[in-house]
Amino acid sequence: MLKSPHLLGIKDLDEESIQLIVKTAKEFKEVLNRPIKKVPSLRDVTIANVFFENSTRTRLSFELAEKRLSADTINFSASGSSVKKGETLLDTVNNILAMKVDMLVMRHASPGAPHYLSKHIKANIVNAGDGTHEHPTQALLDTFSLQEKLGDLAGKNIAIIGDILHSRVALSNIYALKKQGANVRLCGPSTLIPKHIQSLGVEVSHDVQSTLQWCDAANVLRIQLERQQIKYFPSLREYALTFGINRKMLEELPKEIVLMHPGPINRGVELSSDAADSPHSIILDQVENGVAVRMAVLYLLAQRQ
Amino acid sequence: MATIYKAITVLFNQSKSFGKKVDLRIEKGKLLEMGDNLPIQKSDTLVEGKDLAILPALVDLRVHNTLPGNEHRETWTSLQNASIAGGIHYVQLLPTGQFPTQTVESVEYIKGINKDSFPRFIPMAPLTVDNKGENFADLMDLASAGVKGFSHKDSTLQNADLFLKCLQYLMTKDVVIYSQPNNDNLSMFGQINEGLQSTLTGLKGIPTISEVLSIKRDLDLLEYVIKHSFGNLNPNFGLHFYCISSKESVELIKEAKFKGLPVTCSVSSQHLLFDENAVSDFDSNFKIKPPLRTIEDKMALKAGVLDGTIDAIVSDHHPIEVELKEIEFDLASFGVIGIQTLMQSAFEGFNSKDIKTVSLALSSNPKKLLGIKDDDLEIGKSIVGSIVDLKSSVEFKESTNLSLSKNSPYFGFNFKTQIIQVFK
Repeated sequence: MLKSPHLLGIKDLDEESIQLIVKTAKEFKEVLNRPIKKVPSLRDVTIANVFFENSTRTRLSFELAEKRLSADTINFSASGSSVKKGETLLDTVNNILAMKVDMLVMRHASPGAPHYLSKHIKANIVNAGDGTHEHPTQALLDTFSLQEKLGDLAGKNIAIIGDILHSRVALSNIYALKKQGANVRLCGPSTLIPKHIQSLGVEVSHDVQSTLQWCDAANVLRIQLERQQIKYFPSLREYALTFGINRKMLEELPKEIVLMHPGPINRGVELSSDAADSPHSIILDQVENGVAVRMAVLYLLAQRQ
Repeated sequence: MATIYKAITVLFNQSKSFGKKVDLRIEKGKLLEMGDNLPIQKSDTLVEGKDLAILPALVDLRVHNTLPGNEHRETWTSLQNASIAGGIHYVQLLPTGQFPTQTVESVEYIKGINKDSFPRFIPMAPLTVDNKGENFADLMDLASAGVKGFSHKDSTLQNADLFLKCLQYLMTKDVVIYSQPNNDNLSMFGQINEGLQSTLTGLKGIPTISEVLSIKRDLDLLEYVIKHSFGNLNPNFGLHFYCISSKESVELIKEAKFKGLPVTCSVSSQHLLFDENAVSDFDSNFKIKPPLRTIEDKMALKAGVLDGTIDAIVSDHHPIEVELKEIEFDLASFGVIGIQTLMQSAFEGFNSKDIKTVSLALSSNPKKLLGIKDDDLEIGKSIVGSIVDLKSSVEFKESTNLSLSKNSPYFGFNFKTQIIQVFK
């Protein structure tokens, strides 16, 4: 059983819990490959997917996971809500919970928004991404996908390449990977690497080529222009030339590496199309595993109720 | 019926008993007798003063003025009550009201609110009209009307030329220009200290260099002004850096003082008690400007108070309604209340042997900046000050808070200093 009633981030999750979620996800993945993909585990549990920020794959993935578990689901997005009329986050959520909702899957642009809510509400909260802070289910599905390819991650070299400064995927992955004993190297323009990130026990590089040579797997991140309130580099063209990865670079490596991306891909920027579609890529496996991991998280949290 | 305080520590800087233990006989706020082993009369109430201290009137050099316009945050009455409950007798108000105190009439109005009682409100004036950073306010006019402090809102002028001219223009007057050092570009969109916690929380960081660069700029400008002052610098003119937050800032100011520049500085009591780890769980009652920095910075600030580099400890009292505070961290306003807890929080981080020095940062030093007489304990006169227990344990609660606002980082905090009595 998980130790916390919420999944707010990987920071407060121990390795045992990470492995429990992955193990449970493996079982659900097996279920998802059966002709009848639905299990009754969360029958009579109502889950609200509350998204204050745009999302396609994460929201669909959660919704599908909930439906596969037989939960009742309701969806809420900020654009069609009272938020625009000035309602506070707490009021909005309390109104939803008053309709007898048991669990909340929330995405919000403010770092710490689910942590703030967790101090005020009783329902289980799953953080589906809070601004530039954490995206725990993404890191868990990345762990699951990596383990499928590389086995135990202890001692493995994992690179995270791109806009680290604005990435919740990077931070959650760093926590998850370090807890499993992996070596983590971050690579990107120096302006997009947090200055104190080495305190998390990671290496920093600004050279993509040597980073690719070093790693067993590269998790390539999107340039998050929507989160960049000020300029960090001259242009996407220059970024693609300096930090973009193409298939030729992958094929010239002395060993085959695993290529990951949390999506959506900016083709031609961080990844060329031929790299994204190469045999190195497990990008669609990540998407598939996402449903199983989210089923596992929801199932394990519901067990605490 | 008088009260005899037996062996109470005197923290009146002007007293020849400063830092020593003496007996005091006090009746109805008036000091009747002072000395060793005072005879006890039958009608006297005896109070053991071993852990007690008597403090002079204290000063809070930095309080955000919310009036007029934000009466829901604080009123004159609530500010008076909170100040006096905290032993604060002089309250310097930033020119941050909806209508900044930029006319002689508005200055006179605020000075007149509590003219004959305590706390006294001391209005600062803005350097530029409406705090817009464009045209000069009537600086000479205001200085002649008794304004002792000028600032740009609660911050500093980003325009170096304008700030230079303010220094030049006012250098002949008995005034202090206050600046909370910050470079707006370097701190843009920042929420907390740029450091470990900004990395862990994903909140945008405010780097130390945004403060350091601003201090360096202002010190260079001040030196330049003095160099070209034709010997007309007023001996009481000075530049004060509000709420410094970093080790490097302490070092820069120490160096500037050594060079003989007319510079003083202050620190908020929050920066002496907390560090950046306080925001790790997104508690917006620790969201302040400048942000709480590292433990190393905190230690350097404390050392700065003790070695006299830091002249004053301030509350940076900034009342804000819950609707703007108890929300998502990055949307919450900066600022906390603290005038009622200033003395307690200032003393909290120091050993009892250091209280003597710390008390100066709340009394004699800021009084000098404001041109207020530093009173002595005089026989036969009413005391203006307070008696505190330095070895107590008292919790600050919402129910004891007298401010109209509730944005305190101290709720639930157990202070070792308890205010026993305030004489006003």
